[in-house]
Amino acid sequence: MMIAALQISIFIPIVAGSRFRNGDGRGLRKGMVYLFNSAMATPTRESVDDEMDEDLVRKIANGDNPAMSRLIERWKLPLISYFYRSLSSREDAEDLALTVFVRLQRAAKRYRAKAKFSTYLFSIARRLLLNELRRRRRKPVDLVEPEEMRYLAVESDDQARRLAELEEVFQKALSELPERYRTPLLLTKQENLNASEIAEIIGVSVNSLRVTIHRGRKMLKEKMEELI
Amino acid sequence: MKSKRPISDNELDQLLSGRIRKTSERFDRKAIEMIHDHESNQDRKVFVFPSWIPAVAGLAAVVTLMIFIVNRQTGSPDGAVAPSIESSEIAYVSIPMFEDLFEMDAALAPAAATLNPEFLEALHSLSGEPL
Repeated sequence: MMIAALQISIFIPIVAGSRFRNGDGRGLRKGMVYLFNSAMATPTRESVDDEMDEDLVRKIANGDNPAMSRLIERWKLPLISYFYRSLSSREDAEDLALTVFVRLQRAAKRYRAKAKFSTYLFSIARRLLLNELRRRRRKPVDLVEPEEMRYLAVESDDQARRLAELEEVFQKALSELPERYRTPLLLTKQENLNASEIAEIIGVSVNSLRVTIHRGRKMLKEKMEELI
Repeated sequence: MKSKRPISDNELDQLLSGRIRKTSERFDRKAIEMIHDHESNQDRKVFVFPSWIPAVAGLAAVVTLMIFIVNRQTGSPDGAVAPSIESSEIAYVSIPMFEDLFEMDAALAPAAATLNPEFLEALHSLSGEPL
């Protein structure tokens, strides 16, 4: 029994290592590292549910409600987080995210997969956000606790503490930034969209977007340092 | 107490990448309601009358009307023979060169009426043949 388990524990990294083998004999080590990293990695949208967004929208158009639930499950946190950074209100961000889903449900029959689904979704989201920003007068802020935020690639407890410390200042500085700077910054880092996708959402050229992102970062840093 | 240490690019990237960990119960409840609302709207949905049905019905009506009119003009479709016209109903135009012919016809008509229908039919069929 133990021998069989040992054989399996060696065999699996060898198989996994075969994709890294390049003749230098280090495939086994790389395979083990790959398996370890795979096991420790945070599940991504794709690994949780492989069904394409476009297929889900097609099913939604045919009245498939479980498909709608899956799409909401997949996109609710990205949308709420995007809205929250602009509105500084969790409740408003959640309401706006629901509005995006309602719009999507209504428009599902007309949806044509010309671009990536995320580009389509965030185009709707941004239009709704701009309407909301135009409509809203001053609203009381409803900030989430820093512990309720999840950041990418936090390497140590010290770093986590530092980010928690900066969260409030960051949120205030970011919400004060003009929207044309804020959205590109968020879509680049929060949503990992590439320059051409963001340029399509915002309706500017890629070159102009790069300049906007560069200026936006600079302005954000300066605002944060003023507020600290 | 926030440290006055300048913000690094890496820290800024991490803050920008930040996402809310989970949704509130309020959101989850509303999302379920939204899906149920959509479902009940679909159930309530009335039958939408396809727009091509009136067009097809109109076309069928026109075709039927045309068939009826054409049949009326060419005789009934079951091949029934149209009723014969009595000689008294025929209005002859007075043309001198045909007067004799008309007189003969008038004289023959009573004689033809006394003939057996079989012989009359035979006579008619021979009328185009040279005697």
